[in-house]
Amino acid sequence: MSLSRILLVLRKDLQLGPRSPIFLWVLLLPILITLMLQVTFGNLFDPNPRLGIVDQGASVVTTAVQDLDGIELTLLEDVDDLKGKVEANDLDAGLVLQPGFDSAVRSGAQPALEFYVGGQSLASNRIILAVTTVDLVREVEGSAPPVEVELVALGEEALPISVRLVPFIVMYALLIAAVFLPSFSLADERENRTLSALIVTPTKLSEVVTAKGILGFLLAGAMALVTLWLNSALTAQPLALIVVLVVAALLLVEIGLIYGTASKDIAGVFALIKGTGFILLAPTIFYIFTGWPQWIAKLFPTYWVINPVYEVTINNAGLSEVWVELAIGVAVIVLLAFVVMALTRRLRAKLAAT
Amino acid sequence: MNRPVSRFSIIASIVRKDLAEYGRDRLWAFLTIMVLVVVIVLFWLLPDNVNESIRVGVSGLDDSSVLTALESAEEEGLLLVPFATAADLEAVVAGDVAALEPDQAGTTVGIAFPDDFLAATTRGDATTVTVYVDAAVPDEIQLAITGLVSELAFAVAGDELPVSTPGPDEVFVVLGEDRVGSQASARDSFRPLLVFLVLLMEMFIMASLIAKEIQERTVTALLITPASVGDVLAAKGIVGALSGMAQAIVVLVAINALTSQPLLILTLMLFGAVMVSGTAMLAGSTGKDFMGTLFSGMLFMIPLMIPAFAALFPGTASAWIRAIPSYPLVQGLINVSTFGEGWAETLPELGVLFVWCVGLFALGWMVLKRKVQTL
Repeated sequence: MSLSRILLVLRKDLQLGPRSPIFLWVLLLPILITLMLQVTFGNLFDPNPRLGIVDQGASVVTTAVQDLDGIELTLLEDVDDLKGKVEANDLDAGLVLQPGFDSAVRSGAQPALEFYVGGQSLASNRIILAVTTVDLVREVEGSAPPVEVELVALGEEALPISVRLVPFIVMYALLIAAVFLPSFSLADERENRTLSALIVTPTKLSEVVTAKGILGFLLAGAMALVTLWLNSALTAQPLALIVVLVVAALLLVEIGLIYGTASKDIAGVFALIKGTGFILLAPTIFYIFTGWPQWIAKLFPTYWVINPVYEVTINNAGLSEVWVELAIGVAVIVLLAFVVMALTRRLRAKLAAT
Repeated sequence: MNRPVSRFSIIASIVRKDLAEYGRDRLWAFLTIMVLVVVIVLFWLLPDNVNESIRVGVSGLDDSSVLTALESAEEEGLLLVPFATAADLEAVVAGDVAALEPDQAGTTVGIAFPDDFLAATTRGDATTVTVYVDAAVPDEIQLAITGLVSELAFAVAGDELPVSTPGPDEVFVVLGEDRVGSQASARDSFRPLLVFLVLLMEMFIMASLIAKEIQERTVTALLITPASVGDVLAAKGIVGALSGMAQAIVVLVAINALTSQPLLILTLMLFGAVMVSGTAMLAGSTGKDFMGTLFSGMLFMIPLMIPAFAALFPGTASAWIRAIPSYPLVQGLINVSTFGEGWAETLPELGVLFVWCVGLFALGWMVLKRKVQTL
């Protein structure tokens, strides 16, 4: 294998590649997915109870709710608007605080509690919002509860959904750059017969395949870093981060090369990706749904490369804590390298025969 | 001498040719079946009920009437699970031991009352109640349980609420139909999304077949026969709508969605299939090759998917989502399949969908016609 020829093919791919829509996917999809999952659809997995308040008298209850974690507060001006939103399930509950509400509570006048819940709101949200509201009104009254409540938190605190989504988004970025790009590029060259043309030059097929792999590897690493940065998860130890990303990108690039060398055309690659994409992404779903049996994730090959990424980026683990997974990942990489070599030989024979 | 051939038979011949081509394409045949199977399996794997209650373990309250009163007062929002001792409760919440009783499994919040809680609180003596929570329990639930204990103590001590409430046991007024106990499950919420996914897959397939015809210029070969551009396009529209409808019916039957208002659901799906067919003409005429078609298909698919995803969220969709052509289809499906509405209530969605369906089909027709004429 000649390094200069590999670099030549790589340079050609870098020059011509951006004309392909797949390049645009590689660059845009991680950003779009981050935007969609973290900004738009993130709270689908962990919805907070939604409370609307019409405060007509600058009540301290409103200020107290604003300071609470876990309750989504919307301040409104109009009572009818509040009722409309509650009935349409745009809010779980609505509270109207009349002028002088606080002083009426403190004076013992027992003002009316105008508290509305939506028919479609969950019973659990109703109880959370109702109890919290009553509790805050009691605080306004100033009466000390006849009981002392001691809160004891047990176990480890759960990570927020925005963090649990990171492995999925990083995996997607890696998949598109490391699997889609080399596989589609190889299949495209084969379909357009430029691969057959290339191998009659001194360039060997193995060099073309290696160049495609390097391009996928470099873009996968870069896009994984960009995705981690977009998700505010670029705080890991640099050496550990580089090692885990290199291992993850290598394994996925090999999968991309296997798809590219095994398929006779782009449609074949597309079918392979559609058919197996779920298996590659599956381990990342287990980070989102922590209640699922986590051992199942270990059955998927990509777990052994995405879990080190997760541990290093999210839990700030060092290499000493993820070396077992990395070792298994490296073993899979070595195994897959033989498959890539065998498929490259087979492809060369096929191209020579046509 | 050749007999004059009717437009109908020309279009029928092209439809037959297109359907045969569709069936011969192994990739799309594989993907069609795969998507159908995945959608149907996924639907049946989704939970068909909604867990609306917070499960709370309780120890130290011997008076079961207090427990029952507490639970019924909070309707179905609270599910109280008795524990023999505070130590058992703490161990289960901490996950240190397996649940002692089957109904104690999954308890992540527990209230350990002291043995003399009722008597001491009634006397006005201060007591300490320990609330055990799994650290993963959201803040708002921790806060609510703490508040609940205080409120229970106030009630036992005979302290009235500092506000007047709509009723003796009612703190709030329910607006709209009270759906506690009959909330839309994940299956209900995902149903429109899954059905729409099948139509979108159909869009990809149609777009790809159209792009292939343009690429290979088989469409120009057709035009030297008695078939006109209009016949070719009409056939494409029919094939798109037919295959989309066929797949949608398979899914609708498999997910048991045709039990109520089947004609209305099928009408919605027919309009949806025609709309998607028009979109496929647009995507297919812009794509130069497989990758190009795939990319342009994605550009159409992503915005069209948004209303179906938005339907998973509670509440009214934003104005910009309601302006997306697929919104009336998704909302119509939700109205009928989830809320059991009929023709009269779904008429606005049906009307808007019809307008989008005609508009997009006409646009697709014009763009594809221009493309074919320039070949």
